[in-house]
Amino acid sequence: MINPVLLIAIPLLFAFLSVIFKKADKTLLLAAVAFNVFGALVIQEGNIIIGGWKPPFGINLVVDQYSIFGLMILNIVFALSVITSLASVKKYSTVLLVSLASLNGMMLTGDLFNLFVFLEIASISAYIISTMTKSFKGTFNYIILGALGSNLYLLGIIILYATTGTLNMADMSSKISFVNNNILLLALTFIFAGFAVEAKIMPFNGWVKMVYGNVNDLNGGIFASAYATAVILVFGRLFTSIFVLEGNLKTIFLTITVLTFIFGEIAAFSQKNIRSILAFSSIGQAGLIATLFLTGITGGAMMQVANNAFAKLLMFTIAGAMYVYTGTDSIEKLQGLFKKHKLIGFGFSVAALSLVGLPLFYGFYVKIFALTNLLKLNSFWLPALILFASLIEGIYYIRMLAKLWNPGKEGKESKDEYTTKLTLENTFAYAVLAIAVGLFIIYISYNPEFITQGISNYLSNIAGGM
Amino acid sequence: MKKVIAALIVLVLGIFIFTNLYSTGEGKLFPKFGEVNLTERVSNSFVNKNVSENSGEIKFKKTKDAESGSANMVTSIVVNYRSFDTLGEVTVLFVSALGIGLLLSGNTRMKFKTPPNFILKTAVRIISGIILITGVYIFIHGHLTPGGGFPGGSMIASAVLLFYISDDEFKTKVKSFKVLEGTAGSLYLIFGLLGLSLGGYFLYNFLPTGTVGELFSAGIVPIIYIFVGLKVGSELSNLISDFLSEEGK
Repeated sequence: MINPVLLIAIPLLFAFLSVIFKKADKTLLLAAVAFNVFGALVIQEGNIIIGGWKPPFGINLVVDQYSIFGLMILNIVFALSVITSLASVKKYSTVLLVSLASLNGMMLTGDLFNLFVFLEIASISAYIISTMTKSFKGTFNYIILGALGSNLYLLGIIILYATTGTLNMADMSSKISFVNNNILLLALTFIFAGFAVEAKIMPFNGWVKMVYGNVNDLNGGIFASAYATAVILVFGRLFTSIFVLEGNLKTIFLTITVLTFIFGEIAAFSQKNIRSILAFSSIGQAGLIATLFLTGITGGAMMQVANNAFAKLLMFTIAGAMYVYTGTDSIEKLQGLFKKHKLIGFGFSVAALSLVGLPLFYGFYVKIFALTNLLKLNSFWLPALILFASLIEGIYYIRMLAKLWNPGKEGKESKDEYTTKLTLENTFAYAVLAIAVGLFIIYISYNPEFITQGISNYLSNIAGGM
Repeated sequence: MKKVIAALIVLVLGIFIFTNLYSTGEGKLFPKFGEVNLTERVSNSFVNKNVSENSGEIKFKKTKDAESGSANMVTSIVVNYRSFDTLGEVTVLFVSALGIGLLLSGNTRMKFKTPPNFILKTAVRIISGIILITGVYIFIHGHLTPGGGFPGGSMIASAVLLFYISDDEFKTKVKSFKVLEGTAGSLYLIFGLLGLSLGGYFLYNFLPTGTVGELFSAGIVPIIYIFVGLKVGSELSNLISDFLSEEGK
């Protein structure tokens, strides 16, 4: 059995080694990625103590079904992204190793301050990874907002630490009910706002368009699937298991996340470039998942995380590759692209349709599950708003797919000017990825239990979870 | 107009923080300065070094085999009880320095507008040795006196900065600093993994903790602090050389 701490320690060790052995950095990256995928598949539940100090005093790692679920998705999408776009890694392998370690740490840690440390490492590596395409303005915005967000989160846990005297998550959740309401309001607002930056929730997501809208084939997949998965799952853990929201605060936070979903989808509707559409769609998905977490439908939220991670990995990788090889990602210019590259088109379409939640695809199953559970809670506004935003999402995705498959009136096969730059050799890896992920999404569409099993295990023993 | 709105938002936020933080009412309140009840805090056990319930008075130079043998209680917390966080903080510095290296590094040394004068050059030659030795002293004695890896490392880097200021031609060997940085970081992790294989816990203090206050005490704490010091020193030196270099002309 693998000790879960190795999932953090091995990539970090390889990161330090890759500074010394500059020539072997890609080998080290691939080795760490492979090790982490293997580790995420075999680790078992448990409470891992670090340094030999028992939980409320020392730092511990919480390995339950929830974190195992997150680790599997996170490490698999990270590995797929790196292996497919190995050519784009260039000088960034050390940073990628550090970010892999920190994302695993965020998923595993059972300590609020330790979570801050990993959040900090993850966001600093994200700033560096976002400079891959040399769009420094987006990175600058991201740094400013990210620094503000980390500080707000830190301020929130400082207030809670001063009041309760503990940092351990399980200990905190048992002591949080004794805290004065006003102080809880202040601390939770700060923690929510701090996480909202990385989780792309509304007033704090100004950086997303410029960073996500300027990605290449590698960092697109890593941001939109690996980072999004880790951050939103940690958000879910904080606001479902540790701080259970009630009353006005819950209403305010829910309003923010629902508005994020709706505005994200509306903004995506008006975009012309594939990557900008996907960027706003990511904001919308983050809002949807956060809404599901806040209303207590943890199972639905987790399924949507899986759906979003795989779909966005594929779509962002392909969109980034289109940009890298053709120099543009405008839908108008790339019309008819998929007619020439049918395999890529197949994967992209499956991912998009599953994300929208069209019948026969996995997303449909997820949305039905979420909506029926929401209706059971006797709330009618939320399902109505979610359906409305999903409709917008469906329209723009299907419009995009129609244009990418259909070359236009003249009956040409495609606009050769751009599409011929994507040759068979340089699209091979993307085609393999498209087939693999596309078939996987179709597989889980017919066997939803494949993913649901772990989730229902988690939900059945949530009582002793933390 | 923008500034007025910004000022208003800051004012509202300030009132929001102030009224909520110092509110009175039911439940646990934010403690006033100096009025904290230490006994209900987790950190109380760190200060008394009795996390594993082996309570007893700790006496300087007398107590043997204390739970965490370092005389400086901050070091106990930073490098022993919460060593995992320190590993993270070291990584924060590592990845920031790496990012600056990726974005700013150049091949040639930046020249100053006014060349450094003779007095500065001579003074730096005298002072820098002392600064280096003090830096090394601080991180070796991190478990006994205030200080430790981070301040000691910064001091080493300040000596490098003085070299840079006093000499237009001076350029550190970035590559050897990188090797030092990577080695120190790897050794920190390898010691953590040794703890995992010898004691069963990652970053476990597997060496005897000795007598409180002696130089050779506190198990792996001083060893780790030496790695942290070397790592911070080499990282900050690399930062300085990255900032003071230019793209090739």
